[in-house]
Amino acid sequence: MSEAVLHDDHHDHKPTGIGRWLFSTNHKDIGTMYLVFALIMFFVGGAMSMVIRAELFQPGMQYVDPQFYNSMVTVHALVMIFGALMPAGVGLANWMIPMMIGAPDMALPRMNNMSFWILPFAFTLLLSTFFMQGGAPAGGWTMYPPLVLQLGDGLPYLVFAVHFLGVSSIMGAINIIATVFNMRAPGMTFMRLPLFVWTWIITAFLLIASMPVLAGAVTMLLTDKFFGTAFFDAAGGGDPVMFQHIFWFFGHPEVYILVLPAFGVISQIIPTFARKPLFGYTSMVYATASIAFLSFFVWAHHMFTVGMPLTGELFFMYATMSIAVPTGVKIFNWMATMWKGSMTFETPMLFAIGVLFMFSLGGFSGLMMGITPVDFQYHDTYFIVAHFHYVIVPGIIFGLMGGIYFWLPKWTGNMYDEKLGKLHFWSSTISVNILFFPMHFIGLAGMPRRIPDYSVQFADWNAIISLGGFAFGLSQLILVWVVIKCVRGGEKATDQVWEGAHGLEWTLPSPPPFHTFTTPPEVTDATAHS
Amino acid sequence: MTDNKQSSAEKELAKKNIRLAVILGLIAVGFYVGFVLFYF
Repeated sequence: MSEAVLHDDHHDHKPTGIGRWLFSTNHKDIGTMYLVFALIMFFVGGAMSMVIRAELFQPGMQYVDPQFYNSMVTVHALVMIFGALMPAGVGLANWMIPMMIGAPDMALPRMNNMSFWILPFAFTLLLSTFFMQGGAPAGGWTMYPPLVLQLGDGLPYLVFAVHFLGVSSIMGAINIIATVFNMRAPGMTFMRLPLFVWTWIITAFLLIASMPVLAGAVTMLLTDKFFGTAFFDAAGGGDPVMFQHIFWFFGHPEVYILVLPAFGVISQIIPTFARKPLFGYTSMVYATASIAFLSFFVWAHHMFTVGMPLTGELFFMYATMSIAVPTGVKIFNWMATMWKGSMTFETPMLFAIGVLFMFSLGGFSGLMMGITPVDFQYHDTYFIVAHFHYVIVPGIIFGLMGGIYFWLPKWTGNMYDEKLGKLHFWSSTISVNILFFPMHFIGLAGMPRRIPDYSVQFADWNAIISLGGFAFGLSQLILVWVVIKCVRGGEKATDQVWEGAHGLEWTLPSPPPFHTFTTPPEVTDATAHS
Repeated sequence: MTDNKQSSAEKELAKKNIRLAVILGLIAVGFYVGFVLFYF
C-alpha cells in the first residue's frame, strides 16, 4: 500500500445521517447515489415495459387504452435513456475516474452534488404528467411535432424536465473534463489514462456539443405551443421535418453518449480477465474519438423515409457505413486482447463477452438499416425495435452491469456471490434473446412499432417475446439481491481484487477510504493501465 | 478543508478548475442560444 493511501486513512472521517447524502461533495457518495438512482429508474422504466409486453401478449386490447399504451412507450424510453443509462454511466465515472487518475475528488465537488440532485427533481416533473389533464407524453421519446404539441398540460413539464436533464448532464460533463484535464496525478499522461477515462472524456465533449441542441429544439417546441412562433408549423411557414433533423443531430450522438462508457468498462474488464494488456491501446483511443466525430454526420439515417434528396440519402448512407470501421477496430482489439490470454470467466468477463457478441448483432442490423433502399422496408417496424434494443440492452446495459460486478468488491470490500452473478448473467442472456431476437422476424414481416394491437399472424411470436420480457425483468431482481448481499457482507476482497487487475484504483484498500489520494501518487509505466 | 487552510497550490488548482468550467459552460450556453437565435 502506498504512503499516500496510509496517510489518507487518518482522514477517513465521514459525515453521518441524511446530510451525508443531501450535501455530499464526495465523489464516492455521489457515485453511489447516481447508481442507486439509476437502478430505481431502471425498475420504473422496466415496469413500463412490462405493461407494454402484457398488452402485446395477445392481439386485441387487454389491459390499457391506446393513449396510456403510447404514454408507456414514450416514458419508458425517456426514463431508461435519461434516468437509468446516463446516470449509471455518470455513477461509474464518479466512483472510478478520480481513483483511476490519482485525484482526491472531482474537480468541482459542489457542482457534482447539484448535477445529481437535479435528476430526482427533473423526473418528478416528468412523471407528474401522468396525473395531469391530457396525460403523460405519448408521442414518442423523439417528441416530433405536430403530434407532441397535442399533449395537454404535460407539455411544459416535459420540456422543462428535458432542460433540467440537459443541465445536469452538461454540468456532469464539465466536471469530468475539468477533473481529467487538471487533476491527474504526476506521471499520468493522457496516453497512460485507463480507457474507461478516455471514453468518458470523449463522451463528455459529445454531451457538451449535443445536449444544447436538444434543449434548443424543445425550447422551440415550447414557443410554438405558447408564444405564437411557427418553427415547426407548416401553416405558419415552418417545417416539422426540421425538428426531426435537429432532434437526430442530438439523438445520434446520444447513442454514443450511452455506449462509449460501456465500451470503456469492457476495455477495463477484458484485459483483467485475459491477463494481458489491452491490445492496440492507441488505436482504441483514436477509434473512440473517430466514432464520436462521425456520430455528428449520420443523423438523417433515422429519417430516410421523410423524402430527402438522393444525394443526401447517399451521403448519410456512406457516413453511417463508415462508423463500422472504428467500431470494428474496437471489436477486433478486444478479441485480440483475449487471443492466447490466460482467460477466466468470472461474471464481469461473461458480461463483457456478452457485449461483444450481442452488441455486434445490434450493430450489424444497424448496418442493414443504414442501407437507404432497404430501410424503407424496415422503417417503423419491430425490426428497428429489435436493433436498438440489442444495442442498448445486451450492449450498453450488459456493459454497465459488467462494470458493477467488476468494481463492486472494490466499493464494498466484499466479494459478491459468484454463483448468483453467473445465474444473473445466464438468465439475462437467455431471456434477452427470447425477448428481442424474434422482433427481427415480426418486424421483417411488417409488424409496426408503437401500436397497441396487431394482426393475428404475429400472435405466436408476440407471446414468446412477452414471456422473454417477463423472464428478463425477473432476472434483474437477482442483481438487486447480489448487490444487497455483497453490501451486507461476504468473503473479504483484497486490494487488487482480481489477479489480472492493474491501475491506481487497485492499489487502494477495498473498500477505499472516504478520502483517497489527498497526496497524489507518482505514476510510472508499471502502475499505469496501458 | 476550510478556505484559510488551502495552500496556494490548491487555490491555484481551484481557480484553474473554475476557469475551465466557465469556458465549457459558456460553450454549451453559446450552442444553445446561438442555435435558437439562428432559427429565429
